[in-house]
Amino acid sequence: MHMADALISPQVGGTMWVISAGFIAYCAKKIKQCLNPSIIPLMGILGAFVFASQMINFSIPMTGSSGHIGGGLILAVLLGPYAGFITIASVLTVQALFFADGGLLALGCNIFNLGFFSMFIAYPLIYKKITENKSSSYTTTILASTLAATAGLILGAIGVVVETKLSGITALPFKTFFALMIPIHIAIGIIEGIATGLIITALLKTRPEILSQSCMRPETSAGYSTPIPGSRPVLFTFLLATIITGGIASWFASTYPDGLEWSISRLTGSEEVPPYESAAHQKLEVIQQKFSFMPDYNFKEAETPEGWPAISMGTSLAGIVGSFITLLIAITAGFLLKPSKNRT
Amino acid sequence: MSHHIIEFINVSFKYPDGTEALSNISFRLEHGCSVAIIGANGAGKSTLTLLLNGCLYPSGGEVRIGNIPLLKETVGHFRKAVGMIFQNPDDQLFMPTVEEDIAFGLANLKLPQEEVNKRVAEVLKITGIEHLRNKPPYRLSAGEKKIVSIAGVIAMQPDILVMDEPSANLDPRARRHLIELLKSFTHTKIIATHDMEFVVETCQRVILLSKGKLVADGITTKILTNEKLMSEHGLETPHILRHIHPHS
Amino acid sequence: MSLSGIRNLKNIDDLAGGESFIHKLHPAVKTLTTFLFIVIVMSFNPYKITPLAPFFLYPVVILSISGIPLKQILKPIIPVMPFIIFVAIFNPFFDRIILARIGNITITRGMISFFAIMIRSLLAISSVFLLIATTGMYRVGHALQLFKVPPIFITQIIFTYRYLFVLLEEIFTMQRAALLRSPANKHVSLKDYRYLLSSFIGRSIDKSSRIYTAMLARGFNGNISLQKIPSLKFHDIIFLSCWCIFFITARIWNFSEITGTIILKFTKSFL
Repeated sequence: MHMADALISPQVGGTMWVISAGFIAYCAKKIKQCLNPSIIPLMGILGAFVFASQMINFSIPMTGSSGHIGGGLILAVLLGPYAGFITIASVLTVQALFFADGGLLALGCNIFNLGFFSMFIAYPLIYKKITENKSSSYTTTILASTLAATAGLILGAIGVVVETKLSGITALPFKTFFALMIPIHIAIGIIEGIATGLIITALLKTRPEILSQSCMRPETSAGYSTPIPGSRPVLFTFLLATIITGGIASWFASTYPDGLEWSISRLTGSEEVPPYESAAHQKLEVIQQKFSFMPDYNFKEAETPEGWPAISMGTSLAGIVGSFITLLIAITAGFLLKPSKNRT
Repeated sequence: MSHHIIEFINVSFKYPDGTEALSNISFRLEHGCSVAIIGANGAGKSTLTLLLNGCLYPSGGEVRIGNIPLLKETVGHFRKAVGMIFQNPDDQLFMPTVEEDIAFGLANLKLPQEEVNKRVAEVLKITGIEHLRNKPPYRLSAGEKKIVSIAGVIAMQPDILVMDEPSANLDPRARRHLIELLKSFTHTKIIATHDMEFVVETCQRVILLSKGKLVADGITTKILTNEKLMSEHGLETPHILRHIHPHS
Repeated sequence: MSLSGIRNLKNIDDLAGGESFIHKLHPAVKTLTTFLFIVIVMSFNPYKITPLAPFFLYPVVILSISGIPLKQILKPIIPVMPFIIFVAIFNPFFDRIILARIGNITITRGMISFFAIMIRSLLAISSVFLLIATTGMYRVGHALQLFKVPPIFITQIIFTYRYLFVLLEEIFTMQRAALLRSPANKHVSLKDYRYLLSSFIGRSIDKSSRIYTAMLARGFNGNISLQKIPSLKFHDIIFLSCWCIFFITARIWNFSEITGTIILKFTKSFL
């Protein structure tokens, strides 16, 4: 379930689109440098594979519920980060266009949340770092994929929360949203990580050559990249700390922009209609002035008939009546345009 | 290439995992003939077909078309002269519409757009699938997909057609249509198949493989009616040859 | 989804083969118009419902002229709506600022934004479905060339879509076979899933090798060449311009309020 358009403002959506487009262009360039053109049909097949595998659930032992893999991590392992990013982006695009799973405006956000964190953070910084020793045991591999999947999903969830909050459309308070998203995504991450790890270890046993194909990891042709000397333990510890902080301590963390906390105090029962101005909105105001050439227009001469309470909803009786009539006109006009031979 | 004579000269092939798929295969095919490659599963039929268009290179011996041996430098000539039709059309029809799929190979030949359009139209007509022009391949029946894959290959105007199990998964009508179509082609045809009745109808010559070795090479009726030979190598004489009608 | 569900999906492709004026429009123009439509609808203040009414003209017009039956569009929309409701439902709970009381009914800001989200979603989703139903996934993919999308990405969208149905059928068949041998289970066990999926990956990768071999056999050399897209015609430009003008003016001026005011004035002058 990806983010729908309805919760994203054009500003946030547009920004994420630019960022995702940049990554797509970057990865496309990297793939061009690849000397193995067989990756082209492989990416397409694995994209379809991710789709298909999301349809099959396995029962989670001892819970009576079921789960499935998302596919980000397995794509990273099979294709490397660059081809993997393009593949997951194409899957998300087909899902948005054909299945209405995620909106077009939100597509940039979805590509970033699901693509960037799994391909460029979870996979290289966690999974590869743990498993780069070629004699990694099965347990290590499963542990690595669980950590990587969970980290990727938590970061993706944080992305969703931040993007939604900056858009300012949902009334869900930041802390509540966070509190809902994080535990759910930890659970999903663990499930996906274990399942992915099991699949990878099964492949190691039956088809090890799949996991060491060249060119998919442009750093080297042997399969795994060489570690940056000295940075591994530091990076690992840092990441672990971030995940813990993000996952558990965030409730009390003051590391988040104060502006996002603003909405909570503002939503505590005042009867006045506050102007729609979240803090994030204020910050983006400058950009918004330039972006919005469409000022709100209030028709001041609307009169309310006697007996009705004054409605200060930012609209008037005229607006309500008018919208029904306009809707009627729109629909009638639309259907009148039906070519006569098509009318059943 | 001179008259497209196809030659296998002591060809052997070993897969990377050590399996010896073909050993010491030699034969010579004249231009325009139709040859069936028959044998039990694992006999080496598919491997032989893949050697014919340069998808695989021989581990030993030489594959020649005209007088040009198959080498990494000459593989382009082989790919142009040989059209390969794979067993599973889904593996071969990877473009969104029939038209685009047929055009794929032509675009790779770097032909100008008008020539591409002309050949696409021609080939759709010859194979009788003009009505499928804009259809996506996954909507087609198995028989239709097979014809489309053939169309995509003959559009490139190869001299030699190689087919791997062409009649597999076809219903009787589609199979009949395929037989008629192949009979109308003047290309050299090399067909790897289990379908003995198909062989009788389309090929004058048969090469029998068994465990990677060439066991027999001769006229279709002669080899297929040799019941001892057939059953020794995992095959059977087709019914059509068991009962010879007085009026046939 | 299931084996039979796949058939429903294929029907949307059939719709794209229509011959209406909308079908014949340039795919890039339709894609851009749809995208602008969504952006402008989403640019509204989230607590405004009334100015959204005129925007229904766009999907309704496209639906009519294209000749696509309403049922065909509602069928894919309905399963998506519960997710939207789930997301929107938080607003009335958390946003209880009271805006008005009509008799005994309290109208809160959260209720307004709930409906606004629902309406905006409906508009966005229907416009995207109409885009695909009148254009088809492949032509939309090809059209992205005009927007300078990298060819490798376009190819991936097309390939993924091309093999989607093939792999879906394969995996549902595999699942069915696995479940038939594990009585009383609704879902495959984790152990079975592991082997089901790893063999599915292996088979899929083999399939892609065969596809690559077939591509090589027809001269593929690594260069992706996409089909040329048709050129823009006069009516394409008119289509895009007219809708843009409509979207922008409907965004600036609240047509609903204007209409309503006029109607009320008329009514009052008769009373």
